[in-house]
Amino acid sequence: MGLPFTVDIRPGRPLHDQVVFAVTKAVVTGQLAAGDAFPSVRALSQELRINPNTAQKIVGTLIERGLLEARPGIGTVVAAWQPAANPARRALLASQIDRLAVDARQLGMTLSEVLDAIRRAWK
Amino acid sequence: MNQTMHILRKDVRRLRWLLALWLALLAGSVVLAANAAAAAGASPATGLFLQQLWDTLEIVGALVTALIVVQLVHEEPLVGFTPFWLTRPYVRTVLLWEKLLVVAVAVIALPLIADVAMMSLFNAGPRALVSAGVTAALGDAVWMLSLMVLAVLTRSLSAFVLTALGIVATLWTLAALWSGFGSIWTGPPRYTPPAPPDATAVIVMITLYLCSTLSVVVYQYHHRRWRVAAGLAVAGLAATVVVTTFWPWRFARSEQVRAGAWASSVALAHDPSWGTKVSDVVNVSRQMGERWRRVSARYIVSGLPPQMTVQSTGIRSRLQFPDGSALESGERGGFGWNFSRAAAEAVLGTRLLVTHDFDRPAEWSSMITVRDRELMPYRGRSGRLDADIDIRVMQMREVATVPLMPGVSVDRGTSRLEISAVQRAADSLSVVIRRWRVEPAFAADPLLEQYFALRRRSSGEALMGGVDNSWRLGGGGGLIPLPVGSGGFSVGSLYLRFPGPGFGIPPDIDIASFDDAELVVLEVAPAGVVTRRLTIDPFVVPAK
Amino acid sequence: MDTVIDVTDLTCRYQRVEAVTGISFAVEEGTVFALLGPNGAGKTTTIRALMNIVRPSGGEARVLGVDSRRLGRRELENIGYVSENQQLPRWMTLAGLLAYCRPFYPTWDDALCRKLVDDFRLPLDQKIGRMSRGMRVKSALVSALAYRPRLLVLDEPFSGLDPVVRDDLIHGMLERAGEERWSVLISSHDLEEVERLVDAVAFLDSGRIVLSEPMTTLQGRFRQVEVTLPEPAPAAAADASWIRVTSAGRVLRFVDTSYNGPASDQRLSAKFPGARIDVQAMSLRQIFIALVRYRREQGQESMQ
Repeated sequence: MGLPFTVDIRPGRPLHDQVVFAVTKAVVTGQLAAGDAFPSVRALSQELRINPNTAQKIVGTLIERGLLEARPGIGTVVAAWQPAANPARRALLASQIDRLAVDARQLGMTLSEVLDAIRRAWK
Repeated sequence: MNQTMHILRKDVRRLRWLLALWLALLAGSVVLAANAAAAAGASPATGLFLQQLWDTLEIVGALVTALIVVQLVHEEPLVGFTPFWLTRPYVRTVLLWEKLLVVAVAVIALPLIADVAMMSLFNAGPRALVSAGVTAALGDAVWMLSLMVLAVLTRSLSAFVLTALGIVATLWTLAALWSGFGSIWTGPPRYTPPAPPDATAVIVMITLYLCSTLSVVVYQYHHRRWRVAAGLAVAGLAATVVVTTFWPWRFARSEQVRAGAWASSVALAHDPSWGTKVSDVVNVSRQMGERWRRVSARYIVSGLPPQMTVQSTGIRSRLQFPDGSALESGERGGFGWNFSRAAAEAVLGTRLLVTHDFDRPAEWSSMITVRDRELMPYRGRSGRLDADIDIRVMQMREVATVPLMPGVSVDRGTSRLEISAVQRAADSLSVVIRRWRVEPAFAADPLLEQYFALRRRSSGEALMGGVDNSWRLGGGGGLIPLPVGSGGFSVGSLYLRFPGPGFGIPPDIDIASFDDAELVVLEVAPAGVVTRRLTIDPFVVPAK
Repeated sequence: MDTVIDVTDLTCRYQRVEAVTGISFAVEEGTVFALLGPNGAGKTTTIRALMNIVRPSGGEARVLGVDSRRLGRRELENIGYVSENQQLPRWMTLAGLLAYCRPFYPTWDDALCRKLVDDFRLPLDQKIGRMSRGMRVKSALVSALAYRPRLLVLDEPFSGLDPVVRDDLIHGMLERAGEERWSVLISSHDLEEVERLVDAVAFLDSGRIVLSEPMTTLQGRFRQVEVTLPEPAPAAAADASWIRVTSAGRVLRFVDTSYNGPASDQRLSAKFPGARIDVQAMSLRQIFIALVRYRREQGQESMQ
């Protein structure tokens, strides 16, 4: 079977965040297109071998963020996603960029190296 | 769903080979008995072979039933943390009844059916059937519940076997110690006057035992606490023994035979010239503890009718000394033969052609039995002995008289004798008798001894028959009283030879002349107890 | 939400092995709850007490609303139990076992049963006594899942099994994930597997409950902290909530057990001005090891 998006769970960050990130990435990169069926909570739980309540929360978060839609009678589908305006998250992203800059400089990376890396991840 | 039937089907499937084997054994025993019927006239060797086969079947049967019961219970073990059924929706009561049902059918009902089949082969009457059936069912129930108690307290067959062996070893050791040490302290058994035959103790004990074992099993199925259940079992056993010993109400007393009018002519006689003598009591105490001494005197019992003999006597005596002190004791003695020539002649009404008399000479009976140190002060002194002597009298009587022909039978309800063959030889006559009998369920009396005579009224002579050989199937007994086996029912053959060598054969007997004699069956039965007082004055305690 | 398991001040004594003293925890319906702890901590004893395999000597354990001592047919019809210690009847085939169990459960689902047998690739005609350990555990799980129990109790189900079998077991366990009235209690040493599966954990050591809380708060409050000081300094006065404090050269390491985000960050910066502070989230395995080692340090000896 398998899931219709790429996900690689690593220790360190909360499971919920990792999966939400993975789905977000899949939607953003087009791996999941609007209208595609999204796996049920049970399928998500079984495929990832994760706790079903966690799977439930993940789906809830994704719906809240507008990435998924609950269609009664059909299930969950990928929403026609639009870039969301969210100042709080933007502020968080800003601090993450700060940290990235500091860490990169500490490691001795040049700005162009960092920009190259960002370009690669953007795809 | 019917949980009982569901579990039962599983259990029967699991035990199918054992159950099949058990059925085969039961069928085999019935076939064997049928053969015994046919082989009644066959040689003793065949008969003995059949008997050994039967005994083997009994032992194997006991093992098979034990395996059935234990394995059945261990399908759902009640001990331990790992049994699979503990977390499944079993109803405890249902499980308990299912197990009891299977065991009751396998260990009690099926053998009962086999017994009935077997006994009907021998035309046993309803009285015999009921008696044997009750005995068998009770014996099997005792066996079955004893096994179940151990099985519910263990979790596997090996644990069961080890525990059983441990218990048997312990009991055996305890019994040996008890009897060994018992005699050190108590000396020879003290005589008490005879009590009427009484099955109360047996009935009470069996009832209590069955109740206590059943309650242990029920408890364990409901609570699954083996330590408490084991404690209950031990307590139940102790209670059974204690209550039986002290049970006051004798309800199963059978009538004691009372001595008839003939008793008035019975008297004791003593000749002063016979004197007294001292002897040791030989038993364990002599090696290990105190020494016990007997002071004996002789007396004669006279006035008994001819067909009566003295089986044993019991003496309660008191030796009173002039200074007021006294010695008291009581002991059983005077055991004699059941058979006497005079009695047989009186009953048969003819002369008996035997050379032994089987008379009892006046013999020495112990009047005073005491510890050596108690006797010491009285050595050489004399006093007045008053002894109350209970004389147990046996009576020989004629049970049946039949012509000496094959096919003739004597039917007595719970036993049956049948002449199956008569063979004439040059100097002897052989008669083969097929016999079956049922020992009653709560027999207080042992089976009575039978004697066989050939009587020729025309010449007023009779011969006694000796038992050359005998064999029988069933009847219990043996080394281990196995509860599995038809309750007290036994069938077998007696091979009689006339004249019987054990009675002494006179030199000139014409055996051919006994061709037309009749066969007489004699029996020796209790005739009552006669008590007489014997006074010996002076009674001298020997100095040495 | 209803609690499917409610343990209050439970004490279990038996002569030899584990003992459990005054433990309390609760399992909410619809959650997966893990019972963790080192060997001999009392996990198996606790589960046995819950299943009425062992009688508690004090306190109370309520399962599906009923005192564990009175667990009867109706409750057991809704509980599935799999344990490394339980012995299935060796003489039965798998098909025989399933056919035998079926009439005991009104909610038995044949289709589900067949699906599980297929998913697990189990041979129906093989005697259980001849199966490998992994197959036996899978068989036990099938016989415990086929009737859709409200509560699934798993006592060290993964022990001694290879990763593929473990994966199969988890897949089977989650067969009814997300369904109504489905709860799981699992005790295990396999913390990597357990971490992703559970909503809440209780941690047992030497027969006592050390903590009992949801995974989110547990992983929220534990942090591995590494402070690189400007100069080597003796270990600063540690906070009460710090455990496993060690120092090597200029590096001070400890585990903060009551981390709460930015407030804690600020406190640390204030306490160690000019130092480089590195705060890492901890996996369940890391939390487990830290707790056990800490308790050993403090002289909490296990019964073994």
